[in-house]
Amino acid sequence: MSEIYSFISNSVPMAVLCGIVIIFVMVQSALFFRAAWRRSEEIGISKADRKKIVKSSALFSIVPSLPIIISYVILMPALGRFFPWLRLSVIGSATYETMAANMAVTAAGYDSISGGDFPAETYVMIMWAVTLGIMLSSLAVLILKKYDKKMQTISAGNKALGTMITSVMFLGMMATFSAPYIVDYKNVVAILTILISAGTMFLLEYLSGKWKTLKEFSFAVSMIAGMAGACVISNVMGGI
Amino acid sequence: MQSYDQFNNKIHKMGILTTLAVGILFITVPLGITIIFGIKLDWKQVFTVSAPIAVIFGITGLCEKLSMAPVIGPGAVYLASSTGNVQNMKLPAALNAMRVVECEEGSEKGRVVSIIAVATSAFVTTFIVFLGMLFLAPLVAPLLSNPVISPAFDNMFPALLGPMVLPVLVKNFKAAILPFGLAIIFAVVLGSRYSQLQSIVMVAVILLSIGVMKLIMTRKKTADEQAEG
Repeated sequence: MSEIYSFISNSVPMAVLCGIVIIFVMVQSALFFRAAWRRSEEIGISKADRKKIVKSSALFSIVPSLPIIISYVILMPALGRFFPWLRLSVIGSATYETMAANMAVTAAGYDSISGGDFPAETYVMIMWAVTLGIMLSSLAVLILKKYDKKMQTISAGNKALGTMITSVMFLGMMATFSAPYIVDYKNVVAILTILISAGTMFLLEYLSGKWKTLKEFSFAVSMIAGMAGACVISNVMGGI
Repeated sequence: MQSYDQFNNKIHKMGILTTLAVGILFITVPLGITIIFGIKLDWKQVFTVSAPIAVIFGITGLCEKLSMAPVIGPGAVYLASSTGNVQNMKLPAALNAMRVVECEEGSEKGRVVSIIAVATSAFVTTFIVFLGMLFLAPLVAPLLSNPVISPAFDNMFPALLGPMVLPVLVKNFKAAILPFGLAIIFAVVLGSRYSQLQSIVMVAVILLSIGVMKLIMTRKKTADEQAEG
C-alpha cells in the first residue's frame, strides 16, 4: 500500500469507526434474532427445531465465508486493514466492494485499485463512493412495509392468487439464478458442479427419511460435494 | 401472546429504525475520517463518482428486495440488507432453514425461521472475517487461491444452486416451466450482459410469469363457472 495514505487507512480512528459499525450491525442481528426466537416459541416451533435451524445455518455459512477472506486479501493492499474488514463483514459483498472501489478509482483517473498509488484525498473519496454507492440499495428496504401490506391485502382478498404470486416469485428467483448456467453449455465444470450438488442433495434427502439428523446438514454437505466435484473435474480436465 | 399483525408491525418498525441507524453509522465512517484527518475533498467529484454506482446498485438492490421479501419475509430482508452477502449466503441460509423445519415460503413460520437463519449466518460471517482480519487471511488466502483448490471456490454459486433449485423443481415442476423458460430466453438474448441485468431480469421474469398465471387462473375460473351454469 502507498505510504501516502496508510496513516489514515491503518489508523486507530479508522479501526474504532469501523468497529462501532460492525458492533451495531451485530446488535441489530441480535435484536432480530431475539424477536424471531420468541415468536417461534409462540407459534409452536419447538426448541429442538430452532436449534436445528441455528446449527444448520451456522454450518452452512462457514464455507461461503471463506472466499470473503480472499477478497479481503485483494482489497487490503489498496484500502488498508480496517475499511475492507467493515465492508466485507457487513452490508457489502466481495463483488460489490471490488467493483465499486474500482469504478471510483478509474473515475478519479487511476488505472485500478490494485496500484494503490493515489493520494490521501483519493483514498477518502473511494471511501465516500463505496459508502454512498450502496446507500440507495440499502435504503430500498424502507418501502418494504407498504409493499408487504399490499401483498398481504392481495393474499387476504384471494388466497389462491396470493399463494400463486409467492410461488412464482420464488420460482422466478431460482430460474434467474440458474438460467446463465443452463445456456452456457460450454462451461462443463459449472454444469457438472450443479448436477453433483443436486444429486448429493437428492441422495441425502432420501436418506434423511431414515436418519433425520441428515436433513440439517444436507444443504451444506451437498454444496461441499459440488465444490469438491468442481475441483476434481477442473484438475482432470486441465490434465487432459 | 402477540398477534401475527403485532409481530409483523414490530419487525417493520425495528427494520426501518435499525436500517436508518445503520445508514447513518455507515456515513459516519468516511465523514469521521474526513474531519479527523482534515481531508479537503472535491465534493463534486465525490458525487459524480458515487451517482452511477448508486443508480446501478440501487435498481439492483430494489429488484432483489422486492423479489425476496414475499419468499423469505421482510424481517430477513431488512437484516440481509444490513449484513450483506445476500445471494450467496443469506438467501440460501433462509431457504435451507425453511426446508429443515418443513415450512412453506412466505408463511409466518417461514418468515420467522428465515430471520433466525439470516442472523445466525451474519454472526458466523462476521466472526470469520474478524479472524481473517486478525490473523487468518495470510494463512488461508494462499491455500484458497491455490490453482488446485481455487476451482472449488470459483464454482461455489453453481454448487449452491444444485441444492437450492432441486427441491423447488421436484415440488413444482409444472409451475416452474414458465419462469425457467422465460429466464432461459433472457439469458440467450442478453448473453454476457445478463449478469449485469440479472436483478431486472428477475423482476421481468416474475411479472411476466404472474401475468400469464393470472390469465390462466381467470380462464379456468370462467370455464368452471360456465360448466356449473
